[in-house]
Amino acid sequence: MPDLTVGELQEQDLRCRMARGGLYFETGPFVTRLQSPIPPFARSFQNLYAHYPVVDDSRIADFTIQMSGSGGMRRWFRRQAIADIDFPTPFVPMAEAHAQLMFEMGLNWAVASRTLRYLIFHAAVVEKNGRAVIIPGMSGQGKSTLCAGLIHSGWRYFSDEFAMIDFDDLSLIPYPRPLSLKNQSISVIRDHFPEAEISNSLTDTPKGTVAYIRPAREMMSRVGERAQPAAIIFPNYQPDSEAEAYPLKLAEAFLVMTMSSVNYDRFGETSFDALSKLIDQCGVYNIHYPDLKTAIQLVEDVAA
Amino acid sequence: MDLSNLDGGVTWRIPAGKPLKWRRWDEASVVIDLDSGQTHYLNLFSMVALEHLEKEAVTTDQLARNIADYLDIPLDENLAGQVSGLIKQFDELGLIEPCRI
Repeated sequence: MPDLTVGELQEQDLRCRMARGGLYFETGPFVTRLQSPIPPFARSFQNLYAHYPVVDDSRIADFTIQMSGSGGMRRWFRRQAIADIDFPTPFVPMAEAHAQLMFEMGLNWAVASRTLRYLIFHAAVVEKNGRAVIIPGMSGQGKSTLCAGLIHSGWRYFSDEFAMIDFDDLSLIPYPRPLSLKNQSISVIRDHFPEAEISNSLTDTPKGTVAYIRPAREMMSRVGERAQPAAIIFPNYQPDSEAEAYPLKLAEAFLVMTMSSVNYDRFGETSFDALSKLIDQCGVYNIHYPDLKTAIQLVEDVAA
Repeated sequence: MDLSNLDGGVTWRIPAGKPLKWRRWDEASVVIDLDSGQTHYLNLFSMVALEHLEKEAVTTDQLARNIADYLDIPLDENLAGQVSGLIKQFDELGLIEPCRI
């Protein structure tokens, strides 16, 4: 267990670190340096990242993110926040009340843009009995809802956002972050899993209503343990569909995975070889399901 | 069927030394062009065509005949049109080039 976690910091200490040189904390294999003078954001951040290790500021940060507040008239009227990273981003300011969302987007952008150690796919990852399942998915196909359901049904939480694969041995690297739920998914998870630690909802964001599941302490306890990928499952939530799981043609699966990767194009033959081996090693399936309970059972069946 | 005027009888080939790396599964493949870094998905039809072009330089009509033989499908205008379209795509992607024999 870490010596110190974000949640164990006194509020004054946290705000002091964030306002000065920055708070250094670990998320999976990365160290992030976070600076922010925005008190409501500091409180929200501390709640969601309570179980994440604080590390010494002598560590070299992989990413520096500065959550800046408003200037000029905006200091008094409709305050805003924006994530500044040490390289260009496409972000525009959001309402200060949505600063947590802005931060999560900023950190995702930094990981996707700057990580050269791993082959990364936009996908959720869960693991059980040493068998990891990669769940790629475009927005709205049910990736996060399914991931949330699985991690409250006995699966270990690896990531909701990025499947990170070591080029050498294809192992998956845990990268658990607060799990983002949107719109109807929030009530679905609240109804199915009352024990889930879900934040207050952010309403009227560019993504609709957003809430986050805080990774529970036990979810963070095995963050150093990698796992081998056993299956790739493409979720398709369709309210009127029958439960169905069927294998994908492997060349098609390869193509779809290249499209869901954030850095496949950077590594040429290396990523081609790694993805080829990944496809050979995993069963690749489409699943169609009308509800979360059915989806969880399909994943259990396919990954068994 | 007379296909001799397809594309004006131009002969096509994969450029000498073009670094293509293949991974074949079932009836489809992916191939990476290590020059451009681009990865291409090839269904059975385009896979057979590119494999023929990898073996030898051919005209579009020769390629259409080869594909018809290999896949045991009729050599007709439909096939000729598909092969012409495929040659055009391969050319645009930089996978093949016209040549003189």
